[in-house]
Amino acid sequence: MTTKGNYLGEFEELVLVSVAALMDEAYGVSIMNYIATEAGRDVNISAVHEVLKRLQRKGYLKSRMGGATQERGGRRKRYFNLTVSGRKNLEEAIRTKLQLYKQVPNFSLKLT
Amino acid sequence: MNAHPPKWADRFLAWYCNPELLEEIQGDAHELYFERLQREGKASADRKYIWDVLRFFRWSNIRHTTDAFRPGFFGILWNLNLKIALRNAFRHKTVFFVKMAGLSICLAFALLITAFVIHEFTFDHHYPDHHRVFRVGTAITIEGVTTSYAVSPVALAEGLAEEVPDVEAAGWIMDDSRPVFTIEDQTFNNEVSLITGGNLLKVLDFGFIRGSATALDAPNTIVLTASTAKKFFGDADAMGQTITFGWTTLEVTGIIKDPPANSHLHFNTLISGATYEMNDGWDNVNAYTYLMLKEGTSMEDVQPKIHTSLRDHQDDMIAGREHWASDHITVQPIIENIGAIHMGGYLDEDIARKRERSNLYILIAVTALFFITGLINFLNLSLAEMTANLKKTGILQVFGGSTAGHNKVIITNTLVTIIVVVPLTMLIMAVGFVLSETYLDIHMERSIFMEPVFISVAAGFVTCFAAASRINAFVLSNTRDIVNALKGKLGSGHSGFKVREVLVSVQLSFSMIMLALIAIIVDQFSYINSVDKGIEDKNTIVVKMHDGSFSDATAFVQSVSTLNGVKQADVSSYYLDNVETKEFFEVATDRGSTKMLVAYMNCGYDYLETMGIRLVKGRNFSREHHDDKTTYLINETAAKEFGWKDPIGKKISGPLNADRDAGEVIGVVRDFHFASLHNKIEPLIVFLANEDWGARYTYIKTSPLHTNEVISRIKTEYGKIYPDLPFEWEYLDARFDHLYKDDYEVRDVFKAGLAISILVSGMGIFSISALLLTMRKKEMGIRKVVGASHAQLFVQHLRSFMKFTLIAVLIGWPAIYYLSGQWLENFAYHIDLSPWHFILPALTACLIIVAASGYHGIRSSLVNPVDILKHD
Repeated sequence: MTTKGNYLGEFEELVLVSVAALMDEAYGVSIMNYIATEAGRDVNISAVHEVLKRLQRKGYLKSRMGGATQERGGRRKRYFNLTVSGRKNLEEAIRTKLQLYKQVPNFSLKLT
Repeated sequence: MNAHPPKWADRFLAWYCNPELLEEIQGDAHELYFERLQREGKASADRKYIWDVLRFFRWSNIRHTTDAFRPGFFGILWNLNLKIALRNAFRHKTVFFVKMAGLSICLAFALLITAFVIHEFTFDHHYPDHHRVFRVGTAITIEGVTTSYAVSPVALAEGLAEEVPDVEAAGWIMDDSRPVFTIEDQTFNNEVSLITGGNLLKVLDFGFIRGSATALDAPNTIVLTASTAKKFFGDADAMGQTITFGWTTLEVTGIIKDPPANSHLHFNTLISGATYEMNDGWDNVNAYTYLMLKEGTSMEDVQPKIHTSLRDHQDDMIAGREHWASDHITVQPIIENIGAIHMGGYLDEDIARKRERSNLYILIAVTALFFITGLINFLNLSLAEMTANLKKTGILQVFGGSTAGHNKVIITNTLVTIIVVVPLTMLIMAVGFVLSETYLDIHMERSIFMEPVFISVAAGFVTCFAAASRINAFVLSNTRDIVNALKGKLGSGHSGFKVREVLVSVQLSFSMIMLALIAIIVDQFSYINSVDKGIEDKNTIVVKMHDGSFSDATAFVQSVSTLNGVKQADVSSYYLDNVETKEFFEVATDRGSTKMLVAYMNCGYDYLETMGIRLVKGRNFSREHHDDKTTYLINETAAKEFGWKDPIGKKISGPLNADRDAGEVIGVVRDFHFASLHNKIEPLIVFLANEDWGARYTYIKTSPLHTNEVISRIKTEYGKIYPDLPFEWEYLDARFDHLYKDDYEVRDVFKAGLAISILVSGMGIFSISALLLTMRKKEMGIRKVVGASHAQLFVQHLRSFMKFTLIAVLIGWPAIYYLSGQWLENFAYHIDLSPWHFILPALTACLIIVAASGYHGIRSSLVNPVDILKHD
């Protein structure tokens, strides 16, 4: 499958930010909960997994298997971290947005 | 923690989920479940868990995931297998070639025969409504003796159309054999013409290219087949052209497609019946009546009505035949679906081309045989190859290769084979098709190869082949025993080798069966050719006398007899193989006078001598005895049948003129075959040809030298008597051969089959012995070191193959006995099976084994033991 360049989708960006924010505690359920509480978006766990897989394939995330925990029936967690290129891309994306945002005329801001 | 997510959902997840992702996904799902369990209660948690499981069910999570996640893993595996398969092919070029060629040849042969069998079974299926088209013949019973005729009264078609409401249309055909057509000074006399009447073109849809089904309604009209139109008129438009035909001219009113090869009717032209001034009444029993039922009616319901119709007109039928006492005669219809005529029973005066069903069954057996032989050969060879690769398989397994992986190797090999074999088979089939058309004179429609039946048989073969390839996987499943595999041995008990032994034996037995059958068929035909037919058919020319005029024929005989190179000639009204016409004779037997239906022929004074028919008792017709015009000769069978110990002087009265009524028997001739040896000799009554009974054929015995010159001289004489008629003649022995065309075809197929089956089984044994040798190399080496001689080793090698012969014999002999018995039963006169028919094939099987495995045997015994034993 080909990667779509450096382009980040909206939900991908959200997940990437969440992983960055959660530091070393980023795995499927925690990311889902984080998005639910911080962004107020209820997403299905399978959607989160799908995006995580995709980001990993693009090389923005790396993963490692953690230790077993009781509440998972002894199953290990897969923890995610940002890679260097992931961080760069995230910063790039946010910077682009801010730059664009700055060019918005003031009156329209006032209207909102 | 008593609560648990719904078990089935959990199991479902575990089933579909890619094992590599399962831990992570299941972990997350469970974590969420217990979180929800505490917050929202069990019901909600269960529901949401199920929902999650369903949501996880997506392409990237399920088993056999795309190579995207595990890049190139499966891709590499397949590539690797393909590479191995191709590398093996190139390394063992001979084995690979033998494998592919053997399979392709067998497949092609089996498919060609399949096509032929389908061709035979689909006779007349080209008529769009063939399931409701029937032909009506008549079975006439006179005093208990029934004769079945393909023909029926001319008036029957019209009668049925009027009297039976279920009949949609009815029509008839009469045979005009080969009339003379003249088109602008050009004469054509080799076109088979059929006279048609009634609504024939509605019943039989010949497929009009020009014109329509009403083309033959008017008199003096003719319809040509496409190829005949081209022959007559070249590229010019044939429609509306005129053709001079005897007393009149015909107008071409239609052009139809050539009848396909699998049509029981073969003709070049159709002429409207109204053209002829003919008797179209019930007493003209010479027409082939065809009818089409209305849609939705069944023949079972209609048959009684046809029977009634025939019975009602019975008196009309026998009008003018006073000797047929009407109260002793019953007439019944013989109704055949048009598709069943080709394979139907024998009928008198049939123009349809017939095929013995039993011959086709033999061919079907041969097809199966060939397919199985090819398959077995292939299996043997791939099994051999795989055994040779056992060590590799073992190593693969040590490194964690799975059974699935091993199966993939087999599947890849199968795919490679199919890719090579299918085009090769098609090529061989194309060549075989052309060869059989040119050399065996077997014509088939090309459309057969597109028939759904044919395609499904072909697909069935491929499926069987693919399924059979799995047998290897089963056999090799023993290689789970890794230790043995690494040693290069099959699993315990050498079961793989046992399977192979059986396969080779079966294959060998097939070759034996083919060989025996072909020997028996050839023997039977040489018997037919050598058997004393009671006549001398060599160097005998039969000339057709067109109008059958006795005086013209006599004049012709007199002029021909004086020619240089002609030994003798005489007339007869009947063609030798065609004396199927029977009449009713009153014979004075010991039990009193009885009426019997007996075959008869008439001939001239010199006919017996010309044909070499010997007299057993009494005398021949003689010019000195004037009353011989009313005397009879009978054959030996007739004498036996009539119960006459001394037939001379016994009285026979027959359907001849009044003055011939009570004739005296003056002699008995030796039985002679006037039909194919498929049939028994029947009683025959012979009387002198005269003006009233005509003479339709002249038999001329020539000297074997300069035959072409003699024939051209005869032709000149013929031209003097019949200036406008074509000279039609043939050799009598060739005519006899023609009677066995059906059998000859089977024989030729067998001859080709024999060569192929010996070739294939030889190839099989050759490669098996090569394999066996590799497996027993060390054993041979040790034997030699211990002191075995070359000869002993060679015998040792051969001995291991001789048990194949034994098994093959056990399978082959009963099969030979059964199959040949079935075939020989078709002949009234046939050879008896001799022990040689069993011993010879067995010896040949031994020979095949010695020849095919001997090469390797010698090689193995000559090799230096040091070279073998130093390995490992």
